[in-house]
Amino acid sequence: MWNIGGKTLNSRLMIGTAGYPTLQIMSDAILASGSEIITVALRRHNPKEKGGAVFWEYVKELGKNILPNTAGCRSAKDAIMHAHMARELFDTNWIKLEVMGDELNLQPDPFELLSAAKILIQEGFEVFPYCTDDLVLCQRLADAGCKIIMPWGSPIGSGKGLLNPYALETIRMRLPHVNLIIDAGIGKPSHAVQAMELGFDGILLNAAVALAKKPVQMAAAFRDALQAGRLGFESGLLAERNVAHASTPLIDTPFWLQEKITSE
Amino acid sequence: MISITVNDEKMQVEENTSLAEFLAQKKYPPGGAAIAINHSVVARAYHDEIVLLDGDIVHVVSAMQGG
Repeated sequence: MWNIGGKTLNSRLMIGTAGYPTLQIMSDAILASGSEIITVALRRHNPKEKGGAVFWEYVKELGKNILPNTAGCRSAKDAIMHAHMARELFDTNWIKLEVMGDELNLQPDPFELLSAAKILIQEGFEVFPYCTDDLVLCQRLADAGCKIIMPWGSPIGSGKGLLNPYALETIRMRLPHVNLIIDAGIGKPSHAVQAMELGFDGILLNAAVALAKKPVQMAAAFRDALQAGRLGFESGLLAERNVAHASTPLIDTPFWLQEKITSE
Repeated sequence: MISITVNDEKMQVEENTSLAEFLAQKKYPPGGAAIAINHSVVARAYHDEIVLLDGDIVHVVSAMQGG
């Protein structure tokens, strides 16, 4: 059990709703993941398209917590407007705050992000900011009142995993009371295990499941990966050593082996 | 008739049309869309009260898949 955004949840996995082969597979994958938070986006409504309404029916049927995003926004002003519309549409004060700064790698704009976060927090939003792994940016977001911070592992959809574990570990160490979520770049269950072993509180992912050959099976793999990583972290991981250290005690070792050990 | 812009598309509507009436005419799903008029969000509770005016810029958004 853990607390995030005023809710107590079992799963530490948040999952996106984009890119699945079908809406039924999306629904099945979300259920298999065990996730209790799903991300959704906003778009300009086109009455001629029925797809949006059908999607929304699937989402409502799932009964999960909705985390709307501000994908596509490139300024604080746009993101704030987007958040207001999302609050009205989804009846939630949760917002996954995304402000893109670069077209090539979709890197968040830290300046606009922080500016938007400050205003939205003052307006009562629970802001889930998607950011880079810059320590000072994360500290400033925490100073602004963000109780949840979501640094990337690597660029969105790259599947490169945790490119800078040192930076992420440092953020974890410096912000022990913030809910830290790795958002973006997770490609394999082992990446999720690594993040959880670093002490991160959760993972937000989408493409690794949606674009898998078997999305439902991959969702289950991530579910188990997060549990394994978290259990490992909570259990206390063995510190690395530069020399071998025998696991088997030497007490009562048979004499023919004792002789060899003492002569070495 | 008055002229308004909805999601960048020019439209003509009857004078004194409320936002709720407009949404119903255009078959927007009840509760399935959020509305902004002239860049200000209009809460659902006010859809009946708000009357569209000539030159209004209306944005209508709905849910879509996202990560």
